[in-house]
Amino acid sequence: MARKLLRGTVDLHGNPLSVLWEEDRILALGPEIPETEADEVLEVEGTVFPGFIDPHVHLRTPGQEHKETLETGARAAAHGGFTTVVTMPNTDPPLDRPELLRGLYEEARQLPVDVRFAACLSVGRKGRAIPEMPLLAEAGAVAFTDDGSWLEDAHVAYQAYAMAAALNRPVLSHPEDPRWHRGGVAHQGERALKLGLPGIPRESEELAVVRDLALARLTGVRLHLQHISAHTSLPHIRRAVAEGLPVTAEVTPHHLLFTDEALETFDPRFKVNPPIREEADRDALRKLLPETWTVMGTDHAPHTVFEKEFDWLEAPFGLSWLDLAFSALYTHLVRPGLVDLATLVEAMTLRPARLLGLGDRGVLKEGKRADLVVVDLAATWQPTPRNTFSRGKNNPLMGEMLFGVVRLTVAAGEVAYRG
Amino acid sequence: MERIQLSSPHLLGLEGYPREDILAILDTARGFLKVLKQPIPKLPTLRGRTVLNLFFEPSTRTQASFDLAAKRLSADLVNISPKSSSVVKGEHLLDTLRNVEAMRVDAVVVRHRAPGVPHFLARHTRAAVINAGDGAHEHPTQALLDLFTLREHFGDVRGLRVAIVGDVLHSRVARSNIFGLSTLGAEVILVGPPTLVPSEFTRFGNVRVVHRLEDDLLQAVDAVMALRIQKERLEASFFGSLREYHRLYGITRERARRIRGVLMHPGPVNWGVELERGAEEETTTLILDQVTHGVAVRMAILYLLLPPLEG
Ligand SMILES: [Zn+2]
Repeated sequence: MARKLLRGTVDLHGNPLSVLWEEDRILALGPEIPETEADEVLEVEGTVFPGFIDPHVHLRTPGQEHKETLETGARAAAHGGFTTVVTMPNTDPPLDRPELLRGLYEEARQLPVDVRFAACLSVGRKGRAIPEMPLLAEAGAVAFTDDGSWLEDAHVAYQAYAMAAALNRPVLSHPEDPRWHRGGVAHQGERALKLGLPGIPRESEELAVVRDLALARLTGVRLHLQHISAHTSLPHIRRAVAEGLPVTAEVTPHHLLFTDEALETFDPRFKVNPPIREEADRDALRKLLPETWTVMGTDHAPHTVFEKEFDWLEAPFGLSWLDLAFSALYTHLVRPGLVDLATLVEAMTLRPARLLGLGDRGVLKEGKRADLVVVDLAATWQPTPRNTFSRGKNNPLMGEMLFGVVRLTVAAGEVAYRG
Repeated sequence: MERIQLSSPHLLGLEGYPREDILAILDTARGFLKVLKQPIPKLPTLRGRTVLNLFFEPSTRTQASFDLAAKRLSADLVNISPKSSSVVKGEHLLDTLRNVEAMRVDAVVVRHRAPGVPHFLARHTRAAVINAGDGAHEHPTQALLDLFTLREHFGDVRGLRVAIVGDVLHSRVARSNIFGLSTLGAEVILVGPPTLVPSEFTRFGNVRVVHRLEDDLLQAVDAVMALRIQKERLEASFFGSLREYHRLYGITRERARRIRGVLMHPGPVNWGVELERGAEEETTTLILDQVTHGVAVRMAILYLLLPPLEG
């Protein structure tokens, strides 16, 4: 039985914290654990956190492996300190059959981090009929989602949400009613109007949120509202939480960091759906982070450089995040004092673990899975296409100096990344 | 002719474009208008220079106007209209740009359906980029020729009141005119259905928005600029019918008679929709002047953006 000891590290508050684990379980934590307890010692300087958990990534497999593979996505995750990621089923073919999930889980066994699969909420993501949800759950679906689009038909959605509730799986909803616009590519506001870009109004999200909350009340499903972008959605969600509904709101790094002022650059790396909106939206989302029902999801959406070199109308939506999400959030939210470190870490660990029903992770505690990350918060790095692992280099922060260098990522007791 | 140095090496839009630069272009265009009226309307000024017309979206008129402007100044001219590739929708911009760079052209005149394409090209090329229309964003050369036309007619643009009537929402001509007219001290009154003329436009300049085309307004303004109405807007439910649009916002013969100032249109006209046939005979119309002035203004732009060749 190999016992490993991590030492030289500190906790959130800067106090020395060593971690001892055996196989994939944490045995002990403390300011000083004698080396004699371990067969192997990892001496690393930095702050130790539970491994980050991302409930919203696109690893593009099967069908779009030129954008990302399970392998490159998992390595990017490990590099960014993520030990568990949930990948979306909007692939080609979409993950709406248990056979597909079984095959993917077989492939995923070799990966350095825990890659989990969400299954489709409707057959072929077409929104007309529900798939074999119980069989999909049996095959390992951790959640159900039609991410990329909203399940518009309220009758089908009702059946799907009720089924998910009975299977004790969350529904990850992409709340955007497409009937609110015609080919929108940017936040509908003064800036898009001035620049002649077709807009996506806040209301397209707000009204989808309202419908979904009504279905959560009807069915009792655990409803996770993905990538909330509009401040007008928030009062509805707060009211539902106050009412006691099992609802969580997802915030993404881009909605926390950017505004539609970036449209002025016409740089398609800022093109994302739902769109980055105004300062009022960004600030309201930042204020939401302390709420325990808020979960960080990166919506990691890798695209090739070639695909992002088209004009604003043609370029695909999405940003690549796994390699640099924590560094970006730490640099731009924690260091300037807008969000405290403990809150950010909780939104990236314990809260997503709860959402996904993964009780064995999300905290550093005896008996929990040995998933951890060590970050040197004082060190800086510059993400570039060469030093990042994701195939998607589509992030406007590429080339910027960021604080927070991941020194070590351990997933299920094994070293997944060491810098 | 005196050659003034413009503050930007490109002409991407009139938002924030300096007043002095607009006036420099208009002054220079006046000189070229005289040249155009001479028996041999041609100058050797840009001999050895190459202008590329890069039109991703067809536009016979604007392209012809640039074409003529370049030829009148003795520049060489290349026309490219990239076709959509079969592999991916649209044209890969950097690919196109690398080809442009390889041709060593001095100026690129670009028209594209997406806002921001000229701005993207300008960041990646040494050539002077001239925006000939980027989606619904800007069409600065059209607005400059409109400003020129107003200035020739009225002597000064400052203090003029100009009504722009129609589909402002989808109009790059309207946006560039809002910026240009405001910079030169004119007042802009946008007229059209609330679906096509959102009130947020008041924030972009010295702008008022009204949703009715009243006779009083036709009497009060110095110029009425009618915009082209595209038939697709009807399918997208922006108004009830072309008949309804024509009734409420069309410049009919009767309305034209009430225009105290001048009537303008960027062309091509959708007769029977935004203009009734014959309306142009009922009032002072500058539509054909706009076309002539377009060549002079584009000559001025090419002249001011392209440094003279040594030797
Ligand atoms: Zn989504």
